[in-house]
Amino acid sequence: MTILRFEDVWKVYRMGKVEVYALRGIDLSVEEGEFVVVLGPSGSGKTTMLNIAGGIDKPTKGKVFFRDLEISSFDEKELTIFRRRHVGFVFQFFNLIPTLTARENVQLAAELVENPRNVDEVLEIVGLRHRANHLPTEMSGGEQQRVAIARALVKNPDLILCDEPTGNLDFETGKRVLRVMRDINREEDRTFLLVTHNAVIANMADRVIHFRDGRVVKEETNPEPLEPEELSW
Amino acid sequence: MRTLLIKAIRDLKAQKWQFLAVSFLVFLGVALFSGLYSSYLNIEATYKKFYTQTNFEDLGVEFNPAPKDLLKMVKAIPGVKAVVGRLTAYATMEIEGREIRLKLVSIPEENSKVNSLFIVEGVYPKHNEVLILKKFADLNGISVGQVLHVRLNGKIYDLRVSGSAYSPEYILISERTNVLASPKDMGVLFVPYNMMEEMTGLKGKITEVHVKIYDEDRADEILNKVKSEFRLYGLKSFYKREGQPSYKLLKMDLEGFKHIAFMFPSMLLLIAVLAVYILLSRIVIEQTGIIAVLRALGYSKRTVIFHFLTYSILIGLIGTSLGVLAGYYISAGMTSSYVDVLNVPYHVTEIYSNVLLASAIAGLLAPLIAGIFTTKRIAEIEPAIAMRGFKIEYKVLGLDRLLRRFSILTRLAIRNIFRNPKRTLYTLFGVVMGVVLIATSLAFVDSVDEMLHIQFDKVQTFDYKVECSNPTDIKRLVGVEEAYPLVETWILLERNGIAKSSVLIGLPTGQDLFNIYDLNGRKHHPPPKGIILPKFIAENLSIAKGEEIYAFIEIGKVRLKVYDIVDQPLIPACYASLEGLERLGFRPNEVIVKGGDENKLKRFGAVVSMKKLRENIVEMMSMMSEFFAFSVLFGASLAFAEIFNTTTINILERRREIATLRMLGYTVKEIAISILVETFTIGLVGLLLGFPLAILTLKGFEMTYKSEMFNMPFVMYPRTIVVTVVVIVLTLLASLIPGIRFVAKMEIDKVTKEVTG
Ligand SMILES: Nc1ncnc2c1ncn2[C@@H]1O[C@H](COP(=O)(O)OP(=O)(O)OP(=O)(O)O)[C@@H](O)[C@H]1O
Ligand SMILES: [Mg+2]
Repeated sequence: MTILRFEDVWKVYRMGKVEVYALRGIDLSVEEGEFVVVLGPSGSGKTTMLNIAGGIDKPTKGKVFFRDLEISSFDEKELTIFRRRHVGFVFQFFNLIPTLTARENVQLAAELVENPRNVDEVLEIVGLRHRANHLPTEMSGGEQQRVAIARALVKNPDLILCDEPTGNLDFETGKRVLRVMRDINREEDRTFLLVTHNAVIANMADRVIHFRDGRVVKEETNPEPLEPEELSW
Repeated sequence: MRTLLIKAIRDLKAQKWQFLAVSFLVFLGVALFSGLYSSYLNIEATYKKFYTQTNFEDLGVEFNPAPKDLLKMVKAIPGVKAVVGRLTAYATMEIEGREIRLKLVSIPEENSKVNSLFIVEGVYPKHNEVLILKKFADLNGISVGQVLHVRLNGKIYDLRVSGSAYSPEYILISERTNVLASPKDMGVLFVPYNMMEEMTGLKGKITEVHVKIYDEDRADEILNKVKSEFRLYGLKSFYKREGQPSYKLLKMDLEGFKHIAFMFPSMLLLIAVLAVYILLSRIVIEQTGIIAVLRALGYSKRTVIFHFLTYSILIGLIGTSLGVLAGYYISAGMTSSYVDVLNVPYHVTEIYSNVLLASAIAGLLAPLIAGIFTTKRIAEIEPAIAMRGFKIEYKVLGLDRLLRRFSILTRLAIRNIFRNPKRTLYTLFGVVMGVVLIATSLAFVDSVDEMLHIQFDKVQTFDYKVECSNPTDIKRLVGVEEAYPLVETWILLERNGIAKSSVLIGLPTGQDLFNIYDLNGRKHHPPPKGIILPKFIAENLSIAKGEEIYAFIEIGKVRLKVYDIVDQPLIPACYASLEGLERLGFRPNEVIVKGGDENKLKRFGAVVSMKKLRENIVEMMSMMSEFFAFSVLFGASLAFAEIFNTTTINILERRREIATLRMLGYTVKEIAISILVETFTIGLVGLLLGFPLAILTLKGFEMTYKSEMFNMPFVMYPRTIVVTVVVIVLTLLASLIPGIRFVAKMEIDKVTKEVTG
C-alpha cells in the first residue's frame, strides 16, 4: 500500500522579481512501513519536498496524496488536522521548547491527539526515561534529538519525516539516533522518510531516492540494507 | 493544552521582572482608577448625605439690615417650604496673641429647618452661649464650656461655648474678602438671635434669608420673588444652591478631582497597553521558531494565538486583582484625607461595584488589547520556518554617512535608537510623562511661592491692617513709617440675570502699600474716576472698558464708569479711588500700616498681621508637601518602570550582538557607555518635549481654577527644571543598572550557543 505519492509536484519561490524553482516536477511514492532516504546536494529541494509531504507547505503545482487523501488541495485547517493525526517531524535543529523538560516537550505533542502513547514509554524507547525531568539545555545534542524523536512518536503518527536528523550530531551519536529510528520502523511498522546529503546514511535505507536541482534523478532499492552500526563516515 | 500553560508560566518566570514591570503599570492604572473614582463618588455621597441631613438651602439672599417681619412674606411665596432669617456680623477674637476673624451668625431658638446645624458635642445654646464651628474649635484647641472673649464694634462680649457643630453652609469657609483664610484663622460662631440683636444693636432686623423650596425647577422664579421683597434695602448678594460659595467651591474642586480620577489612570492604562505590546511582540519575535514548531506539530493557529494571549491574561489578572484591592485602600484613605480638612462630620466609604467592575474590565482589557495587536504577527508565521531556522531583520535608516565620524559603539548606539522606532517612541513617552508629572507637581509648590510673593511682596506690602477710620493717631506711634486709610466693602454687579459679587476697595493715591497688579506684573494705579474691574467678571458679564454699569453697593444702586479692566492675579477685586468712594458717601473703614508694633495698634481696632497670615499659609501648604513628594516619586517610578522595561528588552534581544562585541574584545564599560549614549539621547529629547507639555498642563489648571474669587497664577521656577532634570537622569541611570549588570555577568559562550541551538 502506498502511503505517500507525489505527482508532478512543482514548487516555485518568488522573491521579488527572482523566481527560484525549488522543485521541478517531482514524482515519487513511499510504501507503508518503508524506510526511505532522500539523498541530494544542498539546495536540491529536499527540505521543500519534506515540508510539502508533511503539510507545512503547499506545492505550486501538482498533486500530493496521503493514502487516499489529496493533501495538496487541503486548506490550512485541514492541513493542521492532517499534521496532528498522521505526521511526526524530526528537525535538524531539534527544536525543543527550551522552557519545558524532556517529558513536557513530549507531553506537548501527546496532548494533541486522542489516543497518544504513554509519554514515559516513548521516552523509554529512545532510552531517555532517566532524563525525563531535564531541560533541553541540560542535555547533549544526541539526547535532544532522541527527545525530538519521542515527541514525533508519541502521537502515533503513520509517517515520520526527518530532515537531516544527524546533521548536528557527531558520528557515534548519529548512529545511536539512527538505531532508534530503525528499531521503531521495524518493530512498530512505522514509515520513515529521511532527508540527508550524507550518502553513507543511504546504505541503511530500504530505498534511496536521489535529488538534484529539484528533480528525482535516480531511484534504487537496497536488497540488503546495512544496520546503523555498520555505517561509517 | 495543559503543557502550553506550563510553558506560559515558565516564560513568565524566566522574565519575571519585565512581566512585573508591566503588571505594575496595569496595577497602578486599576488601583488609581478604582481608588480615585470611588473616592470621588464617596466624597460626592458624603456631601449629598450631609446636605440632605441638614436641609441645605435651595436659595439665599443677603442684603442690608431689613425688618425681620419680611420673613412672613417670604414664607407666603408659593413653593416655599421653609425659611430662616439671619443677622450676621464680623467680629474678632484673640487666641494665643493672634487676632482671629469671626463670623457671627444668628440662629433661631430651635434648630432651623433650613441649613440645620449638626451638633457634634454639647447642646444648643441659650442666652450668652454660642455654638462653634467644629474644625475651627479643634484647630484652635477650644473646648465646650470655655468662655470666648469676642470683640464686636469695640465692645468685648463673654460668650460661653455650649457645643460644637457643623453647618452645610460652612463646609468650606470662603469669604469674599479673604479667600485665603485658613480654617484655623477664620471662625464661625452661631449665636442665639436675641443675643445677636443685642450685640449688633439691630433690633428686629435680619441681613440674610435662606430658603428651602418644594420644586427645584422653580428656583429662579422664587429667587426673583424673594429678591424683590428685599430689593428696597439693598441687595448684597443672592444665589441659588449652585452659587452658594461653599457649595460652589466644593463642586469646582470635586469636578477637578473627577477629571484627574479619570484622566490619570486612563493615561496609565494606555501606557500599560504600549508596555505589554512591546514585551509581547519581543516574545513573539524571539519565539518565532517555537511557534513554527508548534504549528508543525499540529497546533492550530487559534490555539497558538490563545497561548500567547495567556500572557496578557495573566498580566491582567495579576495587575487587576492587586489593583482592585489597593484601590479599596486608596479610596478609603483618599476619601478620609480629602474630607478631613473640611467641615463635615463624617464621610461615606462605600464599595461601588460599577467602579470595581469598570476598573477590572479596563485592567483586563488593556493587556489583552496589546496582545491582540501581536496576533497578526503570530498568524503570519509559516510552520515551514521550523525546518529552516530564521533570522530577525531590522530596518536600518540611512544615517550611516552621518554617523561615520563617530566610534563604532556610538554609531551602534544611535542606530539602535532607530532600530525599533515604536519602542523608542514608547521610551520617549515614558520620559515625557515622568517629566510632566514631576515638573507639574513641583511647579505647584513654585506657584504657591509665587502667589505668596505677589500677595505679600507686591500687592499688599503693608505690615498691618487695622479696623479703624483715621490714620492720624497711628502715624504718631513709634516705629510706624507709613499709614493710609482705605475703604473695603462689597459690590454686586448684575447684568442679563447673571450676578457676580466681589470686593470693592477704595485706595488713596500716592501710596505704594496696596497696589494693583496684572498677571504680567505690570502695576496699575487707582483710577481717578470710575472703577477697575477684574477681567473674569468683565468677561462673564460682557462689560467693556469705558462702559457705564449699574452696581449694588452698601449705599444702594449706583452708576459707575468702567475705567479699566485688569486681569489680576490671586484675589481679584474691584478698585476705585478712596476720594471717589468718599464722594459717594463712604468713610474709610481700615488703615494699612507699615512698621509699628501690633500690640500698640490694637488700641485702635482689630489688627491683622500680614506676617502671621503669611506664616499660616506657609504652614498650611507644608502639610501638602507629602502629597507633592508622593507625586514626584510616582513620576519617577513611572518613568523607571517604562525605561527599565524597554532597556532590558533591548539588551536581552541584542544579547548575541553584545556577546559578539565582547568576544571581539570590547569591555563591559565600553558597551555600557554605548547603552548610556542610546538611553540618554532619548532622555534628552524627552526632557525637551516634556517641559513645554508640563507648562501647557499648568495653563490648563490655571483655566480650570479661574473664578471671580480666585485667579491662581501657575509658574515654573528654574529650580523645578533643575530638580526634574536631576530626578530623570538618576531614574535613567537606575533603570539601566540591571541591564548593564546582565552584560557584565553574561557568559559569552552560553549566549552564542543558546541563540544558534
Ligand atoms: N522560503 C524560501 N524562499 C525562497 N527560496 C527558497 C525558500 N526555501 C527554499 N528556497 C530555495 O529553494 C531551493 C531548495 O531549497 P531546500 O531547502 O529545499 O534545499 P535542501 O535540499 O533542503 O538544501 P540543504 O541540504 O541545504 O538543506 C534552494 O535554492 C533554496 O534557496
Ligand atoms: Mg534542507
